[in-house]
Amino acid sequence: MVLLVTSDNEQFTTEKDIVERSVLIKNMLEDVGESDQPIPLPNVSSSVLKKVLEYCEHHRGEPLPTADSEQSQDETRKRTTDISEWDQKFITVDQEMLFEIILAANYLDIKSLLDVGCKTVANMIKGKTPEEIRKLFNIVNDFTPEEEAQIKKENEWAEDR
Amino acid sequence: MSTPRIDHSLSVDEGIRREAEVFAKPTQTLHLLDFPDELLLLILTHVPPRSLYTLATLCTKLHYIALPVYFHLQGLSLPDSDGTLTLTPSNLNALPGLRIALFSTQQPIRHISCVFSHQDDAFLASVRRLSAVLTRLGDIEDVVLNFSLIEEVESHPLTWCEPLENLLETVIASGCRKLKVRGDLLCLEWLHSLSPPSSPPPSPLAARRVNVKQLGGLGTRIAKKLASVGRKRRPRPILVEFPPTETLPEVVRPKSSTTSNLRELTVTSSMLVHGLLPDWTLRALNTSTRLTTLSLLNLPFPGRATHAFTHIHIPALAHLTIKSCPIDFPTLSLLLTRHAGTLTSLTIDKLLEHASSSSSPHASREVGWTPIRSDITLPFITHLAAPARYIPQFLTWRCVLPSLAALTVLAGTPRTLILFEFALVPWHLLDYVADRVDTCELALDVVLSGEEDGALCTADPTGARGMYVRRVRKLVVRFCRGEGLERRLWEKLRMWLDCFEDVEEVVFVLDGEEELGRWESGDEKSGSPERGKGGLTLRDEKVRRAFVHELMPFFSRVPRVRIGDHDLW
Repeated sequence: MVLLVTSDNEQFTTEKDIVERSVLIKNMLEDVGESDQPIPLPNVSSSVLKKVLEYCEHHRGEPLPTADSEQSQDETRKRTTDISEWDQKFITVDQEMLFEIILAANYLDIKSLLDVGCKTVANMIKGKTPEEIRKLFNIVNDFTPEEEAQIKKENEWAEDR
Repeated sequence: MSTPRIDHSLSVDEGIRREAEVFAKPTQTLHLLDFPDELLLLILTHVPPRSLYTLATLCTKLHYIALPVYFHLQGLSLPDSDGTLTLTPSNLNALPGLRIALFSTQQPIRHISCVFSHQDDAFLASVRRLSAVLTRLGDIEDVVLNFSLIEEVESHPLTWCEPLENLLETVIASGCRKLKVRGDLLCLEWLHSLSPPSSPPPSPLAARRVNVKQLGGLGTRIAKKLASVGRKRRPRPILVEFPPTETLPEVVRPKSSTTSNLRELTVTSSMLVHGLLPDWTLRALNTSTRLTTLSLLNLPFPGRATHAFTHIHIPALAHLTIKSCPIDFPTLSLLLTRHAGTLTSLTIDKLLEHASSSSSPHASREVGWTPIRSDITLPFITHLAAPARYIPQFLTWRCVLPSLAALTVLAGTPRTLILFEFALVPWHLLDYVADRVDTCELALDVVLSGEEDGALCTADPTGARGMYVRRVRKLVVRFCRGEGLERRLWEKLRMWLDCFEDVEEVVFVLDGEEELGRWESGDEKSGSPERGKGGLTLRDEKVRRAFVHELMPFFSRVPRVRIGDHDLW
């Protein structure tokens, strides 16, 4: 069993083969060896860790992506934004949580989860108009009027093509 | 991966503050743009190009992150350190991004090469977009436009005229110094007009009229433009007779007040000369006050439409190259006369290629030998490059080249019988000119390139025997292809070389043009490693020794012989 402590000081007890989907924790455990010491995760809050552990538990036992397969995986990852049904359901959270999960997956180094998160954000962007994306992510326009005009001109073009 | 910089401690009571906003959650503590760049990039790898483009238009941060990914996906590499931008049909889709890219103007683009594809439905859109990109750039060194249009069409799509003209205008306005335009439609209209006229050839004027009719709306447009051009004539150079000019453009006024910075123009696209844009071309040529180098290459002129060239006057033209254009000699002499005051080098080759293809060789020869205007003086020409058969045109008639210092005999372009050309080199004429040229530095540069070895060796060079060319001090023999360099050729080469009595230096240039011109730069260290890159067997030490041995009788009386960069002695 492994003991994890979140940023808001909540303790989580979990099994080693679950939590080892995180390359960060896996490496830590290898470095420290068998120990009862809790592992502090100052960058992850309890609500997020709960989600992350839910993900790891569901995918326990699946082979971890090895260094060898990484290359080919990179290739396919670029092309596909498919997410499995369970993952899709799992990642249907509010934007805040989605971003937290991505950051946590990045910090904990859980490649597959990071992928799911990034793909989800990409899917949110895909096919949307500039205004829709702007609203969705609350992006403030900081172009100068000249730059803005340039962009507007090009967009008008794209339409009458 | 680095640790995210986000402070998570604030997120605890975030839910309380969350309001039922219509769209985003402005109070949300975590924001997409707060992500570290590498995470944003990771997300963007899953985003299709179109959306990447959209993202780039939202804010500056996304602009700088998303646009490079967009370019990458479109196969466009941004200008590197030497500022080269290469556009091909596969990455023309990236033009919208290029047009809005904020950083493209910071990273100076000096060289632009663009290949269009007419297969692309968006051909005209691409042309317009490139124009738009160019308007944002300045100080461009060179532009290559390749239209790669090889499809046969009945006539030009008239809708092309305006965007293409606009693109060319923009190129000029961008301060471009060198412009090359390549590629064409193979227009059936022209092919018809290329066939020999069954009746007496129509006057240039009639040709013009036919042209206007064929081009329909475009013709009317041009006619209208011309009407507004006015009739003011430039002062004519002496001794030049113009064709009737009443209805023809003499000098087309510039469209805008921008001064052209163009130094070099290479036209390999007949669209520019007699297709869609003849009036643009005339205007550009006549108003490019800094243009010094003009090259017209591979332009099949319809019928006798070469008269357009009688309306060109380029104030500073110094270097003129006309190759594979069926320009007739009267027109050529007119062109030369008009630029006699500025021309310093002239290259002409295959002027009758297309005309001769349809009629008997004899007839074309007749046309070809129409004497050049007998009263031309080209006082400043120092370099002349021409096939042997054209040289008499320049040397025998009263066309005087008092400053001629270098003569390049273009012998044996591919598929030509080299030695046949050798035999045609008018030795007595060379002698004649050498006697009249004040300098001893007459360089004879013979371009050798052969594909048909058999033919090479059966031709008889003995026509040259007994003729001696005096006062040629320096001889450059350029080998373009190594295969032809067989023993049998060496012997004939020796006979040929023997004709040059006074030669003091011989340079064998192994391959390519970069080697050429080295003879001008004077001395170099002997024994430097040979640099020729062609497949010439002379690079083989053994072959070279045999070659030298074969030519020894000739070499032994020449003070300096070089093969490539390698000094023989």
